[in-house]
Amino acid sequence: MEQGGSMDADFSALDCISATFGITAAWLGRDPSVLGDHWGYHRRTDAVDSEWPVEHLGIHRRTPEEILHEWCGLTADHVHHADSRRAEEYIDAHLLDGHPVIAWVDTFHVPHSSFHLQQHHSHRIVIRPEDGNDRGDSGSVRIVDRYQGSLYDGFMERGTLLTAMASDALGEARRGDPDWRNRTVVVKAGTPDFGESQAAQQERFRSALARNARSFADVDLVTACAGELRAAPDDFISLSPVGTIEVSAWFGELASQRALNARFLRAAAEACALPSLHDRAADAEALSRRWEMTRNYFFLRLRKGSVAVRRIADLITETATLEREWNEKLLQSLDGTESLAPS
Amino acid sequence: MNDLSYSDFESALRKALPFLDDETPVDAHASLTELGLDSLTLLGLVAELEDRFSLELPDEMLVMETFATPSTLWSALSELPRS
Repeated sequence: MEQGGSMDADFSALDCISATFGITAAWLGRDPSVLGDHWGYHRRTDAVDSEWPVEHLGIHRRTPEEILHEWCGLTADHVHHADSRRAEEYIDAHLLDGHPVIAWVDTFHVPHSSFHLQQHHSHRIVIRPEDGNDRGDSGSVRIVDRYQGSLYDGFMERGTLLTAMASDALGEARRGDPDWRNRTVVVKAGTPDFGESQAAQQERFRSALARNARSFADVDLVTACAGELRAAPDDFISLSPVGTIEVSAWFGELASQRALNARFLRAAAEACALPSLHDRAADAEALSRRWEMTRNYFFLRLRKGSVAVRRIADLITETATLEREWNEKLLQSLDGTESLAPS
Repeated sequence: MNDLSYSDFESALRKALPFLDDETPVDAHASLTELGLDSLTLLGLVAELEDRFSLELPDEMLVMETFATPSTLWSALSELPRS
């Protein structure tokens, strides 16, 4: 994607991973909507402890780093620092060079978070270089934390940041996660490719959309999970705190992914001059809201027991059906065979 | 469902939103996200509203869109059928 063409300084996403990579890509003058080039389900091959069947399903085949590299030539340097002092030196050096730094923090220590002094969660924020107009004092750093529910763009005390980055809670985050303490990512611009023709870019969008839509044959995996829940709802009414976070995160990540898919479809509609893709983007936004609703229902109503488990199974099945239709219509849009009736 | 009073509603908002202090008036058209509503506080706010007004929000209301501003939320609550 072209450099400086689609700067989106206010980019935000429903999850902090996409938000931090998107903010950084926008900072580098790239269009973060490419982060939505990704959907479909697959059975996870890594061994995971699980309490609900959905935990066996992966929704990410590619990382944000891989997507940004493919579309924009960006590279990401992940560093696990030995201690806070080295993390601070590394961050300062990159800020001085004008590079934003993504850092892992424990929300318990983040003053602008609603989890502050209440709950420990692994979270990512962007530390950005300061500009001349609103420079803070040397005891603070400039933070951008724009994801759903946290639209913070301001300063954080240096000591607070380092405490949040070194928190022991980051060493024991979600199932299967590594130790996130004192970790950073710096995303850097590679050699910009200004040579791609309009036709080549259109072909790139079309091929990405077709690949994603065809991978959706695996949506049957989701309906199978709903079937498992429906067959023995009493087996799924009690979850550990970790299990509750995992299942709720699964639904939340799907909501976030569909919202990003909508952005990507809008970019594709413009690049390919295919107005019907705007309709598919609206479909993706509606799907995002359905996964969000399912996540919130799960969190609020699971205490009702098997009735709630059956309702969640129904919501999953209904949404999977809508997702199948979304992908079928998308393929029709690409083939030019979509119905002329308003959708 | 109990009768809805706007002052009770405002009080529920203040309890759930971390960036809304007692002195600041509630602007009906302010973004609740700017006032600290996120996926966690939304759940707390739903629980608070359901408890105060003895109701259960329908599934379709359990999305951020419903909670865009105090005005949109109040309208949605006011349209719920009363028992």
